[in-house]
Amino acid sequence: MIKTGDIKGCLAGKILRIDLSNKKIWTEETRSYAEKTLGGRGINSLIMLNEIEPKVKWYDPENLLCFGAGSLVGTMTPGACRVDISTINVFSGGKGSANVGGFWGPELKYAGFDNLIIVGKSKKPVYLYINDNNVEIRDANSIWGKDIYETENTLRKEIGDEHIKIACIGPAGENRVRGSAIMIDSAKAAGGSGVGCVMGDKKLKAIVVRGHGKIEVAQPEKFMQVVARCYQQCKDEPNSKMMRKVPFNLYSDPEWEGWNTNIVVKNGQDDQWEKEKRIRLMNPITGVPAMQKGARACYSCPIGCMPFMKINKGRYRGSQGEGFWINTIMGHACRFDISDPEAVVESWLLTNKLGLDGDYVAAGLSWIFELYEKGIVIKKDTDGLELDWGNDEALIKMIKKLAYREGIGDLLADGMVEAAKKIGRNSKYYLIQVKGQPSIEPFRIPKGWTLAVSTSPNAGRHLRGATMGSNRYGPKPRPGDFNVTDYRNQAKGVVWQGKTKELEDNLGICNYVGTWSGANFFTIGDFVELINSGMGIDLTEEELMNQYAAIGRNLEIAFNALHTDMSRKDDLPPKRFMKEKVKSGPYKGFKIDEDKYNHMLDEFYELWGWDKKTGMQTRSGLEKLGLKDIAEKLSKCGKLVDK
Amino acid sequence: MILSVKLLIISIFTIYKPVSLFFKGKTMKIIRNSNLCYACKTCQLACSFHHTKTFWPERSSITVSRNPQDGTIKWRMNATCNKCVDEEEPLCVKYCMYGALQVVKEVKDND
Repeated sequence: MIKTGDIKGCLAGKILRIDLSNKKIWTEETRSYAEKTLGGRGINSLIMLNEIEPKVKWYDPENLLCFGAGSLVGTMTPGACRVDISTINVFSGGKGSANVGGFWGPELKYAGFDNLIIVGKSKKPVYLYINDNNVEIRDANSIWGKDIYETENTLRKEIGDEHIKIACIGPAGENRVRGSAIMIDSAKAAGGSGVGCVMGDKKLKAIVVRGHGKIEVAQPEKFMQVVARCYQQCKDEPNSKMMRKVPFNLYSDPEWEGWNTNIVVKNGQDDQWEKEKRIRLMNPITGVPAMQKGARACYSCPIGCMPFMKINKGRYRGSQGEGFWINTIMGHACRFDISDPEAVVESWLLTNKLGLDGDYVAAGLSWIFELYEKGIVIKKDTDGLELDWGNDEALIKMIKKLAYREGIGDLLADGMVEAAKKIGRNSKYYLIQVKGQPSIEPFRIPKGWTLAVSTSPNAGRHLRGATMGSNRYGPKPRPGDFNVTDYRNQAKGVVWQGKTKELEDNLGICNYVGTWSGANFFTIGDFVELINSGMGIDLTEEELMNQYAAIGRNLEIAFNALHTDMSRKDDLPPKRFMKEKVKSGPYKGFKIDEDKYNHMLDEFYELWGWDKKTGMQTRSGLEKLGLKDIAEKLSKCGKLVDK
Repeated sequence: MILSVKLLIISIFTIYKPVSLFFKGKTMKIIRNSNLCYACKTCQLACSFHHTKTFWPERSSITVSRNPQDGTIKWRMNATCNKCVDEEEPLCVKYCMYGALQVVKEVKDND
């Protein structure tokens, strides 16, 4: 266990605090927070839990917007570039969190800060300029109203330094569209939980960082030996080449099994997309791959999963930028039944430019498309747009309407759950959401995925433990009989993957490079050696997984318990998928069996040490993690099981 | 035929730009293939570790910057490059996972 004063490396050393209401700037030491949580998201969660009163809503000035670069960020650890952005989740009212890569996080650490905590609200639009110890709150008149690209270009010109790193919001965030992202380096989105909406609510347009400092590690030679080994593991891993290929690696093959297990079509009407449409979209000569002009990597990343896209022909000719992901296929192609490659790329680039979360756009707007199909909304409601499946021009127009709150966009901008209340007529049944956040995830076929998405503390996203196909399953040795469609063995995998994600977010390692997705560059043993030699501590694998990973998740569950009425019922997948079956493909007839799902959920709660009946935390479980004060807090609110 | 050979030579020199000419007292070249570079800046960071035993990009001999909107990458090496004299191979080359940096060969003084 980490004792007071143990940590001797990896941290920048300070947490930067900004009060936008009173224009105050101050700092505090990172160390005591890192001793409890390791860093990154853990520090953000701890500060939110300590400082935000349960009655505070996301739009109150008392809400915090927290940025946390992981403790290994800025070192040469492969993929250690990630920043956690935490705030109150605009959808669930509980813990919100979005995670993003790029170059901004390392720059923050080189400027001397591990975390940045923002409280209050500005009356006028402002941006932050952090140049090492010089921190200023500046007027943002020149950039307010501008899209992401224009904002970055204007700031670079104004500041006159090509090396500045920028996190900013677009028109969507300014307009407090719930599913707004905070964009980093033009194309990397911290998308979930409405973090961009909170930033816009605080009238904070951008955070510009420039750091000239260094990150020191406790044992440089030893640390670099471990780093070298991890890079070698990257070189030796057969999946590396495939993952670098983009777009989007295995999905470029229309026969890839992921097309059968991970795809949702027409807002959940089916989980199978016709092969000819896959071929049209991913055709190497005329499809998405032909638009790729090179690829890019985040800071210190050995994978480089980010294609640079350029549309050279057709209606959207001239658009270009970084980014095309599996979520682009799942969300912007299959959910709308759009197989026109230029249209799919354009819709994604536009989403980035306007500062929207791609998943929110996909899940929310495909819902409206389905309501249009069902006649629940009609042309009069959609400002004259014909929201037919496959109508990409309607999608592009709807994305703009959403970002600028025009017409029907204004109705949807306050969140789809709110919109469903206004629309009525059973529209909520068709809305795919978890804990209030629209979700693009597959629920009927991959069972571990369903469990992870449904139980994710930040509402309906897959990065908190979703297990994938047999070639991508995390813990080694991989079980030979692992079957993604089977309810058995899933909870164990989801908890393992959830724990590794806790560590990755605290350390700032991209989980695409880490233990997820098949990269397999790291084992938990590597994490231990990196932390021990880098931070100068002496942890074991067991302590890391059973103590520090568990603390990370428990802090978020406690926050949800204190701030919302969430309970076991909110850890269930959407009802629609318990009733409606997959209509075609190899998994035709699949739906969620509620009893079997609940059994899986029981196992999941037991493995995390929570009460099966309610999903609540227990006193003994929290005390074992050294979180006695949090147990007391929960107990006072009646949100703790006393066993 | 002659024209295509000429074009090939020109294109090779366009893509591969020699950026460092001296290594361990012998002339050699580190070449960077801009088509293979992913702009991850690992070379910059590794170089800073060689110089300072810390991770300090400002003290690196290499500077990488990229424009995510137009896709351009700028890669520069300055005169502080000391050829990684104590290492088996230059760290920037060792840690480039994309094959964009390569030591081509050691060239004898009278070459």
